[in-house]
Amino acid sequence: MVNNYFGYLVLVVVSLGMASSFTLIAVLLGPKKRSAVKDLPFETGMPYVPSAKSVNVKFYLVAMLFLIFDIEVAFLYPYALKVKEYGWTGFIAVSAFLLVLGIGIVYEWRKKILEWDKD
Amino acid sequence: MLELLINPYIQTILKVIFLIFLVVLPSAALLTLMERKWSALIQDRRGPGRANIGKFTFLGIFHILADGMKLALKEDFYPAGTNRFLFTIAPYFGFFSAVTLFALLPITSPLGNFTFQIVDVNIGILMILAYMSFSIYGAVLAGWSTDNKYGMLGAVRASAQMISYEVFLGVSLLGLLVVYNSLRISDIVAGQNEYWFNGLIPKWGILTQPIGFLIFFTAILAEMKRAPFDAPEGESEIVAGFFIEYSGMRFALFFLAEYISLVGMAMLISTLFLGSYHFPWLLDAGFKLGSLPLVELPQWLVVFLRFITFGGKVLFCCWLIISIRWSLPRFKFDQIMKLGWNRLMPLGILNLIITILVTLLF
Repeated sequence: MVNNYFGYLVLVVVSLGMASSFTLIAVLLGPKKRSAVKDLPFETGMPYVPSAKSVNVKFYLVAMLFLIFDIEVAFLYPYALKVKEYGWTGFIAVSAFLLVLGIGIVYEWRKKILEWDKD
Repeated sequence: MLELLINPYIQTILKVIFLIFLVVLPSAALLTLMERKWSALIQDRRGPGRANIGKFTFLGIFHILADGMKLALKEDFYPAGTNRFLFTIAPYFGFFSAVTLFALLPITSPLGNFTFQIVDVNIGILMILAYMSFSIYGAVLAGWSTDNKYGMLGAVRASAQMISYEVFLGVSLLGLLVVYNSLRISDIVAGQNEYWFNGLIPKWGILTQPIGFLIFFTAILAEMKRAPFDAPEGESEIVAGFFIEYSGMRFALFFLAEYISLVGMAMLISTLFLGSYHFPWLLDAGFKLGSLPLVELPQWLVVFLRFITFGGKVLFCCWLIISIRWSLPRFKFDQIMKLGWNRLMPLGILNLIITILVTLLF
């Protein structure tokens, strides 16, 4: 009996091997000429200013939305496979769960956290 | 020699070599040319066709070779202020996630005991979603590792867009699971060869889950960062977005991963929603339409016809995705977010509720 996940192992080895051999070809064949100006990061012709790695707070709100809703969706997966077995009792229980999910969507909508063009 | 071929481990390795090196890589390479030719046709140009060996140009097919050679001979460059470890591993994530997708997708029905699917695990759909999310790390690390502002903007956009649309991908698949009752890909594929109305209309995913298909297709376009969802790499605003500082073979890895995942996503759409390798009314034993008598066919012919059918469906999906890219303008980034969270998410939940009600009532 072959282990089910052996194919994944082969694919991981093939993909990473292929990618690293491509890089190796470039490292071996390419020219190596470096200069101070060439080393600067691309900046559309303007003088280079060292950058601050800052992120607009709106993106953090998207990340929080993702955390909440992705986990709620993951909770629904086991039920989706057993809809007929749980019948109407299960449907009522899941409706309550979906109601909470819906309130979350309405709250997000009313709070206008995705209205980025209004401020 | 024959004993070696029966060994399941050897069989798995042979399947991987066949699928990746003889099906996926050549079709990804041809798709790069197909995309350039098709865009030229839409924009009323002639497209690439100069590269030649002697007198032969073969519709520009040598451009693939020429591009590959050019990229291999470029300098392996990284700008100052780069985190070299993250810069090196970033393209591998996208490549890895694009290639591992093919593990679960069957290209035709089993011939005897031999299946044309590399692994068939009972958590198939979850594995697909899990391996798909690896490409997010690639996009984020590529933009973060260099000291470039455009790269940073692209990386932030890519992460926000891809994690958001992953949720809608999950929601759209819930309805499919209710209909076919399994996470295993081979069960979903088998479920799509059942028929309504006494063998007249096939139960394909697109017919059982039309809204789910629309949400899934939109989410797939956004996951691939393809137009109209290409804000993370929008050429006219942030130059090239997250992979701006990549050049030569490292850029080629991003480029190749994009086209490999185009093939993979087209296969995924065909497998889950377009009836996989099934041709309507072609059963394991032969053709059977409604209550008409069965036309018997040998098994190898059925398997071959199904392989052709699957190829046709995948090609159609690739063509559709490429055409959408060259027909629609890019969305603004806030429009992408609003379309997702305010439209697709409620629609997905509604679709799930309708599906559950229909399943319980009938």
